[in-house]
Amino acid sequence: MTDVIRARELQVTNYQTMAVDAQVSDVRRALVELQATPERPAALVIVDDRGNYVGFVTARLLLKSLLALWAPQKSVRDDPELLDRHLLDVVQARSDIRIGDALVQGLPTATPETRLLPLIEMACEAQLEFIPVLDAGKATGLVPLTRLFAATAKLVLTPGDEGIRSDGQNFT
Amino acid sequence: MSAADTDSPSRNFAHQTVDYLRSDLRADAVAGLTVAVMGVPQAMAYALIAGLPPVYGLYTAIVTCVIAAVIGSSSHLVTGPTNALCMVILSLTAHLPAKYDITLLEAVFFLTFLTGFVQVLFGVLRLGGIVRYVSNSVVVGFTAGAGVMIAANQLKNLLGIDLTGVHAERFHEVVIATIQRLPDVNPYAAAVGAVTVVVVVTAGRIHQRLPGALLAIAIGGALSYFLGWHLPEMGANKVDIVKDIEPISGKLMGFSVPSLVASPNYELTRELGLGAVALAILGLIEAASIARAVAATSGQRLRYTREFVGQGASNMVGSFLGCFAGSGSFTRTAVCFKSGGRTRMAAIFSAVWTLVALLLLGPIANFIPKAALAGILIVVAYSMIDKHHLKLSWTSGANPRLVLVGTLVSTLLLPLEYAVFVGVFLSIFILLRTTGKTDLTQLVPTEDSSFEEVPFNQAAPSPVVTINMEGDLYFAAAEDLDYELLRSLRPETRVVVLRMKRLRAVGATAMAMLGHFWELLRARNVHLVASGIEEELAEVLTGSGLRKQIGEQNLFYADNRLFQSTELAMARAWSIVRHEQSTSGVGTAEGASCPHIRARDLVSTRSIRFGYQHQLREAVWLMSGLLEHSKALSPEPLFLQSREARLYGELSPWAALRTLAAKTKSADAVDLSDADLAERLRQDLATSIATIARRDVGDLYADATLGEIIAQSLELDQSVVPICHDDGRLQGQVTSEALLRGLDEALHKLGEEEPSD
Repeated sequence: MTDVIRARELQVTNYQTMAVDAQVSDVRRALVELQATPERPAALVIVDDRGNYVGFVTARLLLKSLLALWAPQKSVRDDPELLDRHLLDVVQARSDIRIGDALVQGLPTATPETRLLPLIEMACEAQLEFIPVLDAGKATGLVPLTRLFAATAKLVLTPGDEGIRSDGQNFT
Repeated sequence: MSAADTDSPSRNFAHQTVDYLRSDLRADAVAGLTVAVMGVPQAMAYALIAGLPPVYGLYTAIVTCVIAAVIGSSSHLVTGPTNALCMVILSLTAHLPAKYDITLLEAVFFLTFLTGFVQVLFGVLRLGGIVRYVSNSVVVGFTAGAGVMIAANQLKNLLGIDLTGVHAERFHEVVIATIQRLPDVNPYAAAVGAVTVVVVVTAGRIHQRLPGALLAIAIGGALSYFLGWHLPEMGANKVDIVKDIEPISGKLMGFSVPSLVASPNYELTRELGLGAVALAILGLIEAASIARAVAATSGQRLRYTREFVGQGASNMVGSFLGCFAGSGSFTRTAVCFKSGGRTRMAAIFSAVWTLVALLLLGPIANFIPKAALAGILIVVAYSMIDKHHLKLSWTSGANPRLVLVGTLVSTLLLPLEYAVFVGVFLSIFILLRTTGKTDLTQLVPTEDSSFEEVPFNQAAPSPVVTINMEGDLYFAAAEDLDYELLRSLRPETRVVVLRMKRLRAVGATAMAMLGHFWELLRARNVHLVASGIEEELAEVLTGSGLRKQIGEQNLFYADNRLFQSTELAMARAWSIVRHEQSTSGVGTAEGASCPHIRARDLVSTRSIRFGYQHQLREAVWLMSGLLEHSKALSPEPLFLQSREARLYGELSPWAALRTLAAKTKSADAVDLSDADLAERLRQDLATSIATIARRDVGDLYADATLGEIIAQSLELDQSVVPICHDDGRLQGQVTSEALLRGLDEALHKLGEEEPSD
């Protein structure tokens, strides 16, 4: 175990990128296609024409940004079929916009030197599945929450903590 | 207040005055002179129409012109006697002297005062907008009718026929009386009249700017004067001149309160009241339409309230200075504007030049033959029959034609004040009939997801009938509309969708109609769905209780996107149809336009279940072990279950990490080694996960639709949505990735996009 865990040790670099001018519909398809390769992060790093990091998007972030203003009225919410129709209309209406205009803004980023605790804080603050790692404006990788969690668990758990022992006995 | 502040208004005024004197004075003076040259004979002749001595036409051209120019809004309107108003004045007052033992002038001045008062009232009460609702066909028809009346009335003067003692007020009476007296034609008067007509017509043809009327009365007057036809020696063939009616003294009439204003006669006031209103309306229509026509060219923004007050004040004040009711004169205004008049001073100059003419040429004007003035009026009367606009009104459809004919005929058959009201009434009646109408069409969905609008009741039979309502829906329009709507129903109709987006003026009667329509549908077991509901309509629906009756689930509110709410309403309608068909065993006909992905299509049963009574330490160990085993890169929560195996809540990786790091801030841990950090993070490992788990995880089942799952995931900010069995046990989970996949699939099924591989 290294003395200090940093982002560069946690990041994965086999992420996929997409141009900032790509249409939302293309990004959506790319994210769906990524599901066929679970060894790769289910996220796309969005870059400008010089390869600089602009943002990143996951299925959850894309749904959130596409449907940020989706507020179906009660009569629609109460009818599941209408709700579906309304949902598809809204998504279709935004299919042609550029992903650069549909990114969730203000997401935190790390550097390769960022330590474990700030990474935890970043992930928890925005409930992110991945934390982008940047160096000189370019993405060097993504820190998956799963790796962050595993590293934290490895750090805090001692051999004595292993196993399920309470079996409900410690809960009243 | 500074000295500069005090001085600025007076300095501005001085600057404006100097500017005016330098740039506009000459142009206004010349334009005023041109108007006066044309207007003096016209004013004298118009007085003759009203049955008054010609000098009162001059007084009116001076006084009302100045006051209306000063107070009114238009910078170019020239006010004074007008032919149509004079005709009405004659109609209103001719019989009064005999009836009330008053002079005609007393009656006319009183009528003028009343007219001005009504006009000021119109202005003060801001009723200027009313004029907009009076059709142009009223003005065209009335003016043409008045022209015919003037011609008929002046024929006797033109031919020198004396109808004194003959009761002839209506058009047919005048024509018959004149024809009966044709053998008594005065050939000398007829000669003067004919010469006048020829000169006026010829001058107009030679050059538009030639003062034809002035030349005509000069030539006609000279003919009569130098041949001695005006002398008593001519006996029965004597040509009547202005002096014979009332000599022009060459001075202004002094200020005097009209006797009937000073001591009103109740009966007379009552009799003249309605006529004064008619006269006021006619005057305002004339003034407003002329001012508007000029303003369209000059670019001036008119204030009708001020214009009406100006017109009213000019008549009220005028009645104290020997004037009869005047209004904006089209010909004099047009001449003033075309002659280069730049400001309202041009109209004032025209009054000044008329005054000069009165003072200097008054004695000469006394020798103008009555037949010459009649000749001018015959030409004026002919020009009042505006053939271009008559044709336009006639060919513009049944409504303008009805107004035109109604006004024109009533001008000839009824007292003129009633003709004005007939025209105004017809205008408003047709306005209400046209606007008080709800247009109905039907909307039929097309293959490209839009709508085709087809004539009402001509759409192909379908279980869903979509009706587009457009226009006004106030009481006049609402009558019988419910039964009209019912005509769209076919035996197979199950739902009526009313698109109400473009409805205006929806009132209580309309709500009662809609309520009745809803009841009629209910009696036929047909559903009602409404779309395109704007905020205003929603309020009326709520207030009437109809919103509750129809049901919120059947109401769709107007959206920014065209037909958005109607598409949803249609989907709702088809949903009702399918539901009915499924419960009655009938197969689905059509309308399954929206593909439905349900939770069962997306759910993964590979969820991690855990007892809610455990500690965080155990949860962290379990989650990390599973992650290490699966090597997955997407985080998944622990779903906590109760002892009965029902879903209790959810512990996400974020919640676990947040709890571990709760007591340690990164700013305080910069220098900590990971070992030291680990010690700090361990502090809360014994926390019960029941206390940090989220309980609000929703309650979706396998038949939940994509929209429901996404709506919940957004609302509860869930990255993974649990799906339960009916008994509350966890069935599985739907991840955000699965939701995106479902969305992609649904869009693909909708046929608008290429599928993802």
